[in-house]
Amino acid sequence: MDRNTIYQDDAVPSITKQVITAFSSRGIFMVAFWTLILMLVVMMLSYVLAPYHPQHQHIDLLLLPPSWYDQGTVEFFFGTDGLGRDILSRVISGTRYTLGGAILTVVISGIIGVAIGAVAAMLRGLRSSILHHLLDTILAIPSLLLAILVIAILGRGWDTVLLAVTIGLIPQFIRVSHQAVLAVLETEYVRMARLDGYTNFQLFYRVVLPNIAEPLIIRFTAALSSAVMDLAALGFLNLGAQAPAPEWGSMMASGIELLTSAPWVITLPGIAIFISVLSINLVGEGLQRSFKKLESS
Amino acid sequence: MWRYFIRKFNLLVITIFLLSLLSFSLLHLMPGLPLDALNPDGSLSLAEQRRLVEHYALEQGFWQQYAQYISNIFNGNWGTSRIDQIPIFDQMVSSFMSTLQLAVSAMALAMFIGVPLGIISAYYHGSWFDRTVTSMSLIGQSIPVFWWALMLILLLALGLQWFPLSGRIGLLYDIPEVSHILLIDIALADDEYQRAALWSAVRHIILPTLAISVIPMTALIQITRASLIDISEKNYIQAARAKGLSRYQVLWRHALPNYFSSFIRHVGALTNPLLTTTMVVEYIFDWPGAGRWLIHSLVAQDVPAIQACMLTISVFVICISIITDLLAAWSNPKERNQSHG
Amino acid sequence: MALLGLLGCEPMDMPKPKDGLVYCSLGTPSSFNPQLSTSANVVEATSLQLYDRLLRIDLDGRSFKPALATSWQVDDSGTRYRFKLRQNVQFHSTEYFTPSRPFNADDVVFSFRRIIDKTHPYHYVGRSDYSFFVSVGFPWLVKSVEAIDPSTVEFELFAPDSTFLSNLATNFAVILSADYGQQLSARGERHLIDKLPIGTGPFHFYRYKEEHFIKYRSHEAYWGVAPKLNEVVLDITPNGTMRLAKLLTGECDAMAFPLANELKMLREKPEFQVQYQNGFNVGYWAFNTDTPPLNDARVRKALALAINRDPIMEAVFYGTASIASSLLPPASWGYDATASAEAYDPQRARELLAEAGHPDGFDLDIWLLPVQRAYNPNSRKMALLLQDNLKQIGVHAHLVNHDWNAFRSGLSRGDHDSVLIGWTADNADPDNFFRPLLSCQAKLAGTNRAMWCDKHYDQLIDEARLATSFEKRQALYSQAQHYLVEQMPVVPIAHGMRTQASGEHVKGLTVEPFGGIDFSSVTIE
Repeated sequence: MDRNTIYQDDAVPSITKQVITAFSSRGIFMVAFWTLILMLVVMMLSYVLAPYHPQHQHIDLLLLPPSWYDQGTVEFFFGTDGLGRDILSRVISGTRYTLGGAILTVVISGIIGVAIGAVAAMLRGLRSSILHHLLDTILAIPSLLLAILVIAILGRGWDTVLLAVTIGLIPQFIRVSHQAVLAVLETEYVRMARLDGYTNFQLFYRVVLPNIAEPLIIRFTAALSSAVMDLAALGFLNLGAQAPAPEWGSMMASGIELLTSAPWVITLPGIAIFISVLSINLVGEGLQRSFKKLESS
Repeated sequence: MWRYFIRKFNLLVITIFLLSLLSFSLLHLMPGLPLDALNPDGSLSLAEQRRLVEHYALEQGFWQQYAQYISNIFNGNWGTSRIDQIPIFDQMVSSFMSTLQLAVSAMALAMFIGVPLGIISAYYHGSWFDRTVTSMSLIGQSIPVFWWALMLILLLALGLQWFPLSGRIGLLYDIPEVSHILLIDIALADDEYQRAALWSAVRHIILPTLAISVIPMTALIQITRASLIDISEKNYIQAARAKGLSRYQVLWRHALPNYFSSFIRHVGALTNPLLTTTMVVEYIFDWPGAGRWLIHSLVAQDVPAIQACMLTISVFVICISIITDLLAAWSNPKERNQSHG
Repeated sequence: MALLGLLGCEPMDMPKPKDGLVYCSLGTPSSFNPQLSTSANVVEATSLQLYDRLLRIDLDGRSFKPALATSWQVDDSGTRYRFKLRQNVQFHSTEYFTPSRPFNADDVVFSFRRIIDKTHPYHYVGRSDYSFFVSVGFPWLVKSVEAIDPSTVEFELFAPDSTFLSNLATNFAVILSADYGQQLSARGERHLIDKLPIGTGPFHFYRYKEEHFIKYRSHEAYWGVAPKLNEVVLDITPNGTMRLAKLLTGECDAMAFPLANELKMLREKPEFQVQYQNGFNVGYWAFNTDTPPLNDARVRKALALAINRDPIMEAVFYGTASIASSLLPPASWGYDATASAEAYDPQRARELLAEAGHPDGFDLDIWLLPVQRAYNPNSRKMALLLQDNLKQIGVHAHLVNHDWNAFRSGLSRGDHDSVLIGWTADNADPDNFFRPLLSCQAKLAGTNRAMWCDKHYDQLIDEARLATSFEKRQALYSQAQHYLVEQMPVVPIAHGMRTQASGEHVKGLTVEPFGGIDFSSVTIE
């Protein structure tokens, strides 16, 4: 867009820039944001960062308490589990499962969901109303129940759980993108673009997509935190990742038998889940507020 | 109103049809033939297999089987659980009722605490109280419920030994199941230990209630606070303020009534996460409800039980969602125009 | 918080429910008749509460005490056993059954014919293969069971058998009511016989909720010393930590099998007591000898040599077990210390594998025992340790997890490569280890997890059973143990201790060495 410099007012920064400015004005959101970035870095470098192999059993050092206990040592900062595996290493490697798995499922379900939702919105008519009813049906099933259904059919295991959670997330993306696209399609500028002779695809890519970014980004962060929770919950219920995978939920499930004698075995993965979900939620909240600020200003 | 009602009813019928179709197809979606799915360890005798074939009309076409499935459901003939050979319908009623009792008590606690907190922090918008409540609710929203439940067990059951940690009443009490609602059953039971039994039931429900309620509670705090602040920024409220009404008067006369007219819709929207959380918590506290049953059936590959749980829970969720929509529409005509939300 | 604390305190004036005991038990029993199943859940839940046997084994493991039979004699041929029965023994009188007569010889005949006689109206009820009795060869051993008069029963055997009385004294050889059988037949409800059980034991069945609880009430007309407790509730809690937690919170008065790692903590608390007993059990790793490459004894030996048992004792058992060098525990009179499995030697293991044509190793499934037992309190942990050991010799182990029912039926079909499982003896006779675990009969009965059927081995244990002299039997069992070390169809890993814990207010609870739990002399203070 060309901007005239005849007028005396300041250049309006781009929307992205405004959001970033609004977002970074609140300290807590920035802390959450950097925590999240840090976790992603840890995830990518987990092979290098983990002090030990997550599966390696230090047979002579079973149930070592964390380093701040009298019997703990700094070498095993968060202690060891019942098989002598270093908990810190397992939690670090677990990022690949719980966090990495959540990102993977959200990206895939996001792409599929937005595609379906947008196409349906642009088609309208009978097919759209069939979609509505299908969506209502699927949304009536709690996402954890839906995932459990997929597991019932395909059997337990990490791959199944990823698929199950992906399937569970798709309907929400369909719904959000469907509503957002419908709203955008009714605006004047879309009509203008149509008159300009845009094809449906061009219309979607150039006009609609930038305008539905806000609800999608917010949906994306919400889906990410619920994916982390669902993956961990299924792992905890022993339906997801199977031993010896260091998935946080299944780490907690196998730590239950040590609940009374070595509570740190379940505490640490729990905190890891908590911190990742909290920072995702905070980032989501921050983005939402920034968008709102943008609208009201 | 009538058109709205019919539209919603239509939606309900179609959704339930699709749900029943999905639950029915589960048998066909399982690996292997339907009969294998019903008999995974091959332990059934030929006569029993024949009875199963008859019960599910397995020799007929897909739609005949579906029709048979539906008629079985309406006849209350939901088959027998493969693990323990008892009628699924009876077990479903009893376990779903326990789930509901737990979910309702958690929801009640969440409302009792969450709504006032939300109102106060909206009223003192921006104060330290508001900030504390908001951050607490963000933290509560991010706590993995199974971890929270285990922490409650560690602290309140094992550490302080205040509460029992499993089941819903001490096992030495003998309360016959009549209404499937424990409080009523205790009242009906002609037992000299009635008061003690009641006490035991109350003590049993506290920990799981605390564990579950954190989810709806944080949601209610956020919803209440956000919508009250939202309303107070509306023009008519601003006008009322301009007229000289105090903040307190605005809250009681305008903002709150406005908020409560959509309250029921908010509660309806929480049914879904509430039931999910209840399922996980039941598993941890060994609460004899539908969620625990579903997870056990899943591990045991008990298809008829999985079908029953899935159908019951999801039909319940859709019914609640439609009923709350209708109630909201009845109390607030503006809502009728929203087709979805 | 303060409010919560208020709720937590038990008010003093609340009346306590009647004299009852809640016991946190191991798992849901598959039926209420121990004749039908070798599962420890069934034995624990039913044998000693609901039923009596003709005789009971003494704690020394070699002599017998009278129970429903007051005396017995064997004729000179060793094939005719005659039992004199106790008089005035009453069956349970419950909501669903009122006995029309006291216990007599017909009940004994009814109970044992159900097992051995395919024309018995109840033989096929409950779809059982009577796996314990088949695994010890009972149907091929007992020619007939006859009532001589109402108080005398005679068993005729095809051949003399030194283990016969031991088998009658097991927790499985319980006496049912013929009277109840007839009433059920008349009503056309035969399937109820194992669901609504009737016996002569100290407690009678009252209520049962699947995967939740079993309630028993005291049998007022019990022939022995009347039980002190009014009610016994088995709170079904398969998870060991939950059992302990319930004991700590007072939801259970006693619990089965505290996890080894928690024993230390329990011992430190004065308000709880822990009981131990060296168990007649063995935890082992069985190879499916029907599937290559495990059909090669060299491969099996190599796998056995690759296992380091010392860390297992620490990590899995926390010191509540001893390393098993043979199937037989050292306390058994048949034990031979010279026939011991070889020690950890991965180098030798690799050589043996190469010799057998697998220098690069192979892939192997290990099925995990889905429940906790004294002989294997945590099969997953054990398997992870094995997995690590096996990696050293190039064998890639995959852990396979099934629920109990799928586990049992998969094993009977032989779907597994190898499995971590174990055995708790039902009596002290060495035959009770060798026959049910590894004989050809056991393969038929579906209790032979190694799918092993070896003529030479069967011959040895058959001879040992027919032999009447104690020394001869000892020598034969020693040969059998040497042969097992050579063939290695199973790798013995550990003999676990039987443990149970209870609140100090529970008096008179003892550990039964052969499984089950006896509440008849327990009191609550």
